[in-house]
Amino acid sequence: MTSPFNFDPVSLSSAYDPLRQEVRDFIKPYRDIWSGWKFAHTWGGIDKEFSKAVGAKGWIGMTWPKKYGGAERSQFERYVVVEELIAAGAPLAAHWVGDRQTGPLLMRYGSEDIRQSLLPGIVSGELTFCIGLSEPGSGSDLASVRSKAEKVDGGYRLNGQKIWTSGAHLSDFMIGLFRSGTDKDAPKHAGLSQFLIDMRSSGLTVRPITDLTGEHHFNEVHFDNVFVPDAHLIGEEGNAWKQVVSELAFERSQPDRFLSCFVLLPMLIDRLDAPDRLAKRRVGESFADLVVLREMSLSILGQLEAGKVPAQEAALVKDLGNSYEQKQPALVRELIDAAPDIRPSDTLNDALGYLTQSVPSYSLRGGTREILRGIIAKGLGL
Amino acid sequence: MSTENEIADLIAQQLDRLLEAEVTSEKRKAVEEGRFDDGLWSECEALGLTAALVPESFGGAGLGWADISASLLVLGKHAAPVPLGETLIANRLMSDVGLGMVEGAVATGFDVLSLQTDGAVKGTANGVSWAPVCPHVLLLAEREGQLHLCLMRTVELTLDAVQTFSREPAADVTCNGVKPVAIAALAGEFSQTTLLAHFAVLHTAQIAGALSHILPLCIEYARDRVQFGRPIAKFQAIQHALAQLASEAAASQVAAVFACGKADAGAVEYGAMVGMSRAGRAATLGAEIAHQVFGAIGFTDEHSLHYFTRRLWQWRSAAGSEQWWSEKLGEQIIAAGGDALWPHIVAA
Repeated sequence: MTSPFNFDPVSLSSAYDPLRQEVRDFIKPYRDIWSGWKFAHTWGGIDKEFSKAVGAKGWIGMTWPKKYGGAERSQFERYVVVEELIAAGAPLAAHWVGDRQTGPLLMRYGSEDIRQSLLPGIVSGELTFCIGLSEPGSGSDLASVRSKAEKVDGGYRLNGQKIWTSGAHLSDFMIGLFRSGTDKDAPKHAGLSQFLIDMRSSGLTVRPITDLTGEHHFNEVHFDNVFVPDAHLIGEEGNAWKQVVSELAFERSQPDRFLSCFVLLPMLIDRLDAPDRLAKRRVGESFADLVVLREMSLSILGQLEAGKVPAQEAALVKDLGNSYEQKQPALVRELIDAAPDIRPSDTLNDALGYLTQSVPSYSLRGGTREILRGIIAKGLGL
Repeated sequence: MSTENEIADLIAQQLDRLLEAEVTSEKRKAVEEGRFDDGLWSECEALGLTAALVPESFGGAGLGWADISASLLVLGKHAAPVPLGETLIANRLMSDVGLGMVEGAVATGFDVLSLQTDGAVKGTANGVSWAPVCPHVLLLAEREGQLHLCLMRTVELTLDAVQTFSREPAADVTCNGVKPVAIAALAGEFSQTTLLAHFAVLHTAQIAGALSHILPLCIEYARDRVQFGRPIAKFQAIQHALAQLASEAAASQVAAVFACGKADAGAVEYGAMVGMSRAGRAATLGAEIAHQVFGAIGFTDEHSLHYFTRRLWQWRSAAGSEQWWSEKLGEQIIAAGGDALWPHIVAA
């Protein structure tokens, strides 16, 4: 009646409190030894051993069917685990793609053989996935990808190049987007297909791209006549655009879209000895923003559970969420005098050092701010 | 869906239809010039909303804040020129201390006056919204550290008109030893802040409602207005500004529903802090974007936009500003320490 978007309230009951406590108890010994720089990476940090430990707790693929190694727990339980881990700065990247995206994709579109052979490995935290979407000429304009999948006997031959592929150098498999259609007059969203690609395939080369923080997360991935068997076509040939878009409502509304800098806040609060009015206001605003974002995120989860696809709402949450998390290093700088020294001995400075440099990527990854606002505007009928 | 929900939805729909049909810029202007619309008020009263939050034992509907949140949004959506939200809160507050509700509109003062030993009230409550058009004014008065709610007959009070952003009737209300028509002591934990919080929750919802009206207004205008040979809605700069406006409208609505839920859970101050902190900033940004999109025409008296943007500026400050509530919230959060932060955020 009063809004073009739906954000019906959903609240997590206190029935999940024991699970929360279990996650907090699990993470505490790690947090005690991780440096500020390390936990500032939170879900973007790769730590395979840690992912295996999370898997051993049953917290990867926890909503999936038991026959694939899952625990058949609810999306709300998963949400509790995920938000607790991210808020504590846990490095989730080694299993994050598999848990959040690839697993659900394979369950929806993968063959039974693939599900049985790969899903248990995701659940245990042993298998790492990357996603091959962007190309040198296809960033925000994703539908313009040119890397080709050519039908050959028994499978497809892949040629082309992916770029900005996070974690490709540590991944076992990629889900890659390729142009399989040959009709030049077809709309560019048609003719795209998703493939499961073994990163050890012959003809596949991974080259590192160092980012501005000095770290290696991104890669170029080159395909020179890489063969993938027919069984590794995910979903229908030419249907990938629809398959990719349907993942986004989930991907864009999760706690990783607004909690990336959360670790700074408790440290900031503890550093404010005699908070003045400005400090109180700013902390209050940050708290209120976060509470409201979380309400919005939970509402979307509730809608997804009810079988809806709130794509506009999800774009809106990601845009608000990214803007929120991006402001947090600046909030710290506003309220305390922070030197540009990055000292492991000063945990807040160490975390701030990483996050100040890392936040520009938040409104780029997973759909730029401009793309998201375009989606929202389209939803408004503009 | 519970019966309460169905009743609440029905009331919200009826109110929406009534206000859609009745409220025009002319009517808003009339109220701003001191001509109260008694007919509209009677129709609103007939819907039963003034008694919505009053328990059934006092003859009310026994609904909660969450139940009526949609109605509160509707009040903001139409910039309804009646003190309906204000009255329903006053009736609830009076019922909570055993006084029950009264007929007609009630304004509420936020300042603490003094309650004398003879039972008369003395002092001034500044800037009481709607007081000039309400038969009753509810005031806070203190004696020996004990706060009381005092229901006063407006005709017995001295009113000095005050101009506000909304231009709706408001006055400094002075009591020179007038005895209340009804009085009750407030519970120990009920402070002036608690009183403000009730109205801040209302204004949070009104802000969300007003933004939900401004958004389609801007969209329609952007589609119609042609510059450089095309509708300005085709310009990416305008599209992105409107996307931001939509985001602020959505966030303020979620903040309002959250605040109402907290009010039902006995945490009205927490609801007000979070709600107004978020919605107050949405009001600021939303008004800014709307005026930018509308250009010069939106800056005129003739255009209806200012009836909404001036109310956004009113509501973000009328019962504690977003800055004030943010400061109170931050003070508590900082005092609790860093370790308490995350548990506080996820507390159900």
